[in-house]
Order: sequence, then C-alpha cells, then structure tokens
Amino acid sequence: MVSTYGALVFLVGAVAMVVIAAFVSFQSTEPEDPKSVTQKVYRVRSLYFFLLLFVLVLAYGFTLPKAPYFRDSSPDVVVDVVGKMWFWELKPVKGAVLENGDLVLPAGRKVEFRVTSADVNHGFGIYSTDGYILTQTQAMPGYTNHLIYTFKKPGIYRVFCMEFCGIGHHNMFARIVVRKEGE
Amino acid sequence: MKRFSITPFAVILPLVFIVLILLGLTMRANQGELIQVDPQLFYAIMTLHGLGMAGTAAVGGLTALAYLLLRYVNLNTKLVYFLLFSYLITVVGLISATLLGHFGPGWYVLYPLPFKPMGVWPNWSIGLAIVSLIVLGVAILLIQLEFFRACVARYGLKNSLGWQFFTGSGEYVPPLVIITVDAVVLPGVITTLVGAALLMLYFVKWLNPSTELDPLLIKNMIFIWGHTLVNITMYMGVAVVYELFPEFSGRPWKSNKFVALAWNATFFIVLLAVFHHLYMDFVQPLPLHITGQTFSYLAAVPSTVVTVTGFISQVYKSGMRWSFVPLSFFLGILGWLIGGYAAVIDSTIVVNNQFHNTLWVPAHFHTYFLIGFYLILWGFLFYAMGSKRESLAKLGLASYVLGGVGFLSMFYVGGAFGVPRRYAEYSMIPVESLSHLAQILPKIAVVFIPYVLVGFLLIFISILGGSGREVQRV
Repeated sequence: MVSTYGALVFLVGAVAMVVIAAFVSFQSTEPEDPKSVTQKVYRVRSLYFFLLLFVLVLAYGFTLPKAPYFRDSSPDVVVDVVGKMWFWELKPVKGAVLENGDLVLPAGRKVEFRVTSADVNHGFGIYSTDGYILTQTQAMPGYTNHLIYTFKKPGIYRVFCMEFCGIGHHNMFARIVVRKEGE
Repeated sequence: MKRFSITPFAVILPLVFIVLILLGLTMRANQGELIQVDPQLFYAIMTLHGLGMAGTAAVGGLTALAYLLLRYVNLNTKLVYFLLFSYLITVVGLISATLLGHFGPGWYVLYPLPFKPMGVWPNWSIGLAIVSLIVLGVAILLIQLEFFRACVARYGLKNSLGWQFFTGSGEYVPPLVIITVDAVVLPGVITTLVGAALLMLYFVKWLNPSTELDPLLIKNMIFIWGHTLVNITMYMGVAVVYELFPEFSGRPWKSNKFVALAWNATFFIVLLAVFHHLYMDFVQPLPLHITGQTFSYLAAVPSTVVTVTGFISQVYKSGMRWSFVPLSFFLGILGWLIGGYAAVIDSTIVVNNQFHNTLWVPAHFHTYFLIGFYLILWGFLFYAMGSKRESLAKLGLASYVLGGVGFLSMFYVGGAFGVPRRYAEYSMIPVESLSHLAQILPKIAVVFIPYVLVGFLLIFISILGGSGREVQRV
C-alpha cells in the first residue's frame, strides 16, 4: 500500500525532527561564540542542502512515472460512472454486467472508469474488500475523468464518495463485485 | 509615532478560537458517536470551523505583522482596526449563515455545491456567506497593500524585496522581516484578487441563478486563493519569529543573500504549488499536475535550508533562557515543519491518489495550524501584551501541546488507514473494520481535546495578564 509507505516515511521523518529539535534545545544551555556556531551550522547546511536535493530528485523520479495519468489506456473493460446526490450510477459499457444493482467485473482485466457527475463534485474512491483505499478520481459536472485500474483479486470492493457533496456525503456508497473470469 | 493597541486583538481572536475549538470537539464527538448532531448542523459547523480557523489565523498573522512593521515603517493603523472591524462583521455573518441558516458546503465552498442546497440551507444564507467573505477579503487586500506601500516608501522596491544582494549595489539592507513580508504579501495580493473575482462570480450567480460557471476553472480559483492564504499565513508566523526570536536568543538574525533568494523563490513556489490540490482532477492539463508536484517538493528547500538552519543558529549554544515566548516559537516552528513534511508527502501524486480527502489532510493542516502557526500567534500576543505570567503560560503550553499531539495522532492514524474525511457519521461505512476504526479514533481524540482547551485557557489568562506593550521603534 502506497499510503502505508507514505505514513512510515512521515513517522520516521517526524521522529527525526523531534529528536534534532530536542538535541538543539538541550544544547542551548551552554553558551558558545555565535561566529563559531554559525560556521558549524553553515557546514551542516551545505551538506543538508545537497542531501535534500538528492532525496527530492530521487523521490520525484521514482514516483512521478507511477502517477495515475500515465496508466496504459487500452482497457478490456469500460464502465461509465455518474455521481449524483447521493448515490452512484455505474453503467457497464464493455466487458462488465450489472447483477442485482451491483457492478460485476472480471479480475485481472484492465478497467477504465469514465467518471463524471450530474450535479456537484463527488470523489470516486475504490476501497478493497478489507477496507483500504486503492485509487480514486474526482467526479466533476461537465468533465469526465478516465481512471484505469486492474482488480487483481476477486472479492467485494466498495465505492466511497471522497469529495464533500452535501448532507448525504457520508452515505454515498456502491458495490463492485470482482469475479474470476468465466465465473 | 503611531499608536497601536494590541489589547482588542488579544481578547477577540482567542475568544473566537475557543468557540471554534468547541465546534471541533462537537464534530469529533459526533463522529465517535458520543453525541448526536443532525448532519445538517454537523456540516454547517464544519463549514464555520474551517472558515473561522483560516480567517482567524490570517487576521492574527496580519495583526502581528502590522505591530512589528510599525517598528520600521509608517503604517496607516486605521486599516488594522478596519481589519478587526471587518473580521467581526464576517464572524457574525458566517455564524448567522451557518448556525442559523445551516449553510454547509465546506470551507472551500466548491462550485456548484453552495448553490445546490437540496433544501438544507435557504437562499439568504448563501448571499450572507458570500457578502461576509467579501467584507473580510477586502480588508485583507487593503492591509496587504498598505504593508507593501509602507515598506516600499521606506526602503524602495528593490531593497524591500532584497534584490540589492543580487545587483551588488551595496545599498541599505532592510531588516529580515521586511524582505519576508514583501515576499509573502505580493502573492497574497495577487491571489486575494483572484479570490475577489471568485466571490464576485458567486455573487452574480446568487443574484442570477441561471448563470453557469465552469467547475474546473472555479476549483482552480478557489485553491489559488485558499491555498495561498493559508500558506502565507504560515509565512507570516515565520516572519514574526525572525523578528522577535533574537530578542530572546541574544543573537542577531540578519538579512543575507541566501535568505533573500529563499524568500524571493518562495514567491513563485507558493503560487505554483497550488496545483497539488487538483491532482485527482485528471482532466486538468498534465503540465499543471507536474508543476504541482515539482513546486510542492521545492517548497521544502527554502523553508528548511534557510529558516531551519537559521533557527538552529539562533538556539544552538546560545545560553538563552526558555521563557514562554521563545518556547512557543520553537514548538510552533517544529509544528510547522512536521505539518509541512506531511503535506509534502501528500503532494506526491501517487501518494495523493490514496491520501486525497482522507484524514491525512486534516492531520497535516491541523499540525501546522494548531501546534504551528497558532502557537506562534499566542507567543506573539503574550509578548505584545507584555505579560509576566510565565509559569501559568508554560503550564498551559504543556497541556496544549500534549493534547494537540494526541488529537492530531488520531487524524494521522485515520489517514494512514484511508478513513475518509468530512463524514458526519462513520457508522454507515459498509466495511466493518474501517467503520469500527473510524469511530474509535475520534473517541480517543475527544479525550485529548480538553487538554488543548484547558491549556489554551491558561495561556489566554496569561496573555490577558499583560497591559499592552508600546511598539518599540527601531
């Protein structure tokens, strides 16, 4: 999960900042000549500057190509999604069906969701069977966002609204049933 | 010498803050199912809490800067009182629109939700909210223009932006606070004008409902205004620290070419990082998405390389005494950095694809506001009021920070597990494990909020213990 890595990176960095802050503040009690302190800090600053640039460039180069805009857009399955206050309309276009109001999709196939809204902004967020967010895009009136996603495992996935849309926002869900192909 | 009484600001801003904290407590208690609040009222409270906290912080930051700029330049102090007067009108207007009218489209009033109330909020509440925001927006624009005018009048345009470091003209170097203020006021002015255009469009839409606006364009305008206002508010806090911390460390904090370069770069960075708010709008042109991540990452460079190392130079082996003011500044800068770090992580597009509109978002902005900017503001008010109630204020600070860290941790845990934000209730979430977690976290957060509240009351009492300090002309 990308969010788990993000949270861990945050935790490590935040703890490091607190430790450095504590160290600097504890060292404040013994006075030293400001010029000598400034020289020491400047040396650390140069090192820090290049280290920071290195980390940022690395993170940039590693993450940017994985942005959802660059996913290959030759889908096996196409679904039209319309957000409405306060429900989701999921319309199979290619390779999917509706069963008892649930959208049924094949596992392992590339799905394109063409997401828009009939009224206000909504957020089309897909959650896994065990409640982790997998991906999302906005549903904006007058625009269509194309979200590409492949469900690797069969199961019951959920759609949450991820953009505040009025008093029914917290009760705007849908179900996606993913089955092994041929089932 | 123009006089400037800080006392009305030191009374009104904290009182509003206390009410807003109580609204926050109400929301988390409802999400934890400890109390029951009707969703109509919940979302109205959410809107008031967000607009109130952002507005109060901006007014507090501008007030602090006005007080400190008076040391160096001639400001029209009537505009500072006009800011307070406008703020009060806006507070009354927004309280009426939200608590009486149940106006509840959220603090960034995303188009077209304010105009599609579905029978929840009446038409008058929409107009009242728009006019209230225009009133405060005009006052913020005027005071920013006055800051810029006064600095340029005293130091000249080139000097007050720190450009003499690059032209090698060797002209008079202004204090650091001047360079900082100008570098943040200019983007502030530009984006407040964008905000003014947005509010006028909303006003026209309110008068003539058949008017159609472009949702994507409006969303860009909202964040160009809102993002920049929140960011420059934080930078105002940093400017306060630049100016006042040396009085406690005993070490000067001077302008130099690195600082001037950093703050001039910040001018562009703050304007171009805005686009990270629209990553999930895939129809937004791709170069804007890339611009968003690029400049959000770059934001980490001047803030940490210049401000943090400068701050360490102030503190390390300084022999300083840790009274309430430097302590609140120190912790406030730390809160700003940690909250900013969480924001930079979220500004990575692939991470934002999972963190967007989860509790990670309130986690990071509550960090750099609650235990970041606001701590600096309380330190400033304590200083400007000339209070001597050190022990009480430090006791309050300990409770405030302890409660704040506990409260914020629940947001971070929620964000890491993908709990969506802005849900009045979590019981309806169809995945039991997530629903359960989402309801447990606010229950724990509610335990910590009273520590913040009691801590702040002690700080507030300490601030009021002072009788107001004269502006020291430098």
